[in-house]
Amino acid sequence: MIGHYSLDLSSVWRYRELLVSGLLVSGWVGALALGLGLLGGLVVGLGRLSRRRALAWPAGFLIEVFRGTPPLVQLFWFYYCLPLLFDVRLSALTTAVLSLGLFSSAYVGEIVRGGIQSVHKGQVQAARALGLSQLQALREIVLPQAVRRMWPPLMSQAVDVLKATALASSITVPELMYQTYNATSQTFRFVEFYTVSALIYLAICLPLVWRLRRLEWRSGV
Amino acid sequence: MEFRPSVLWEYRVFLLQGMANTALLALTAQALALTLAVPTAVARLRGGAVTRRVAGAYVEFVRGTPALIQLFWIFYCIPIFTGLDWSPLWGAIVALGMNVGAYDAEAFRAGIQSVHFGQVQAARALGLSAWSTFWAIILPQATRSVLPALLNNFIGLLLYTSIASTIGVHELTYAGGKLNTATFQSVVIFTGVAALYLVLSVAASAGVRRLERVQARRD
Repeated sequence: MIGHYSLDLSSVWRYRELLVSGLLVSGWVGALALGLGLLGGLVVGLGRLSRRRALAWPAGFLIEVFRGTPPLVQLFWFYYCLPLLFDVRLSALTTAVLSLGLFSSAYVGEIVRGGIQSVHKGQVQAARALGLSQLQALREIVLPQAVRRMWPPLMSQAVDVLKATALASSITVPELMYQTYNATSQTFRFVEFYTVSALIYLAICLPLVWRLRRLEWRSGV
Repeated sequence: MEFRPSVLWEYRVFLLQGMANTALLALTAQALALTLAVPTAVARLRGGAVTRRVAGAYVEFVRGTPALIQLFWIFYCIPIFTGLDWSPLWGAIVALGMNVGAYDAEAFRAGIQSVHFGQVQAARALGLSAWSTFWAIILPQATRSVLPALLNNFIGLLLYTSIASTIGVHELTYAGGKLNTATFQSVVIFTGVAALYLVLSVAASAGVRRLERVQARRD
């Protein structure tokens, strides 16, 4: 009993399979979007730094647009507009992965750019003087140093993407939030289901948040 | 499929109403966030064992769960416990305010810690009470150093007000969804809505950069 309300957790137990299936979909969407975000972010970040305008401007545009609009509107845009514009039929899940992946690319792109810019120019000059090509200098000298500095913000980005997967419920992706909403509309057990699902998200995200804090503390950022 | 950009102009009042509510929601939630953030930061730094834990749990809970589930929890569950009958707008203000409040509290915590301890000693030596030392010496200096972080959090909030559409708050995203079902001009409407958000956030970040420049000149 909390006040006049009596908790009935048995309803949550009855719907356990639904919640677990939702959690698995959340995990898939999160992992795929993050993978896409890391790959896309590397391309976008390097593109943004390029001296060629044909690369730098589209990358800058992508970063501004995806960081300057709500991820929820991005999901709607991909869900409703992609089929109309390009005559493609994508499942809600694929749409969510694509949309959240690009959203995350924009943030990862900025992290990559910041990481690379934090490496002193003299490092590249020294590498070039020693006979390394531009690409070798980037791969052997700049990126390893940049990546070490990029770790904490990348972890934080991973947590953000995991949390953003909940938005995919609004385009009918059957992930945890969607299934929770489904269960409450059948049982009207709002308190039980939303609390349990929040705790599930917490159990996944908090260890990452804590690890992140240790990482920040160690690297003195 | 025929694109009719004119629908944006036909429904301009509807869209602008949504945009105004987005701004109203963001500003009200920000006010709540600041009122929560300072006491939470102080509780985490100087509180007793219990207040410290409560404030810490609040921050961790917010940082570890999606804003969407926080919104649903607050909007649907608070009325069940309290019998309170509230509108979606109020539910969204409380949920978003509590969300950003936790992030702002983390910023304030770092800001307060960055104020040199000598400042406190000097203030106390000059006879200021602990309370006035905090209000007159620590907080103004801390606020200056956390202002960029607070403003970035505000831009995030401005964009995240869009989730209030899921509980039926008539803000910009909700207006876009309604127009979409009324006109089927999905491409025009969602591109238009995204552009309006972009205008809001670009204006806000231009403000942030300006403020950073002014602050840098003053230092």
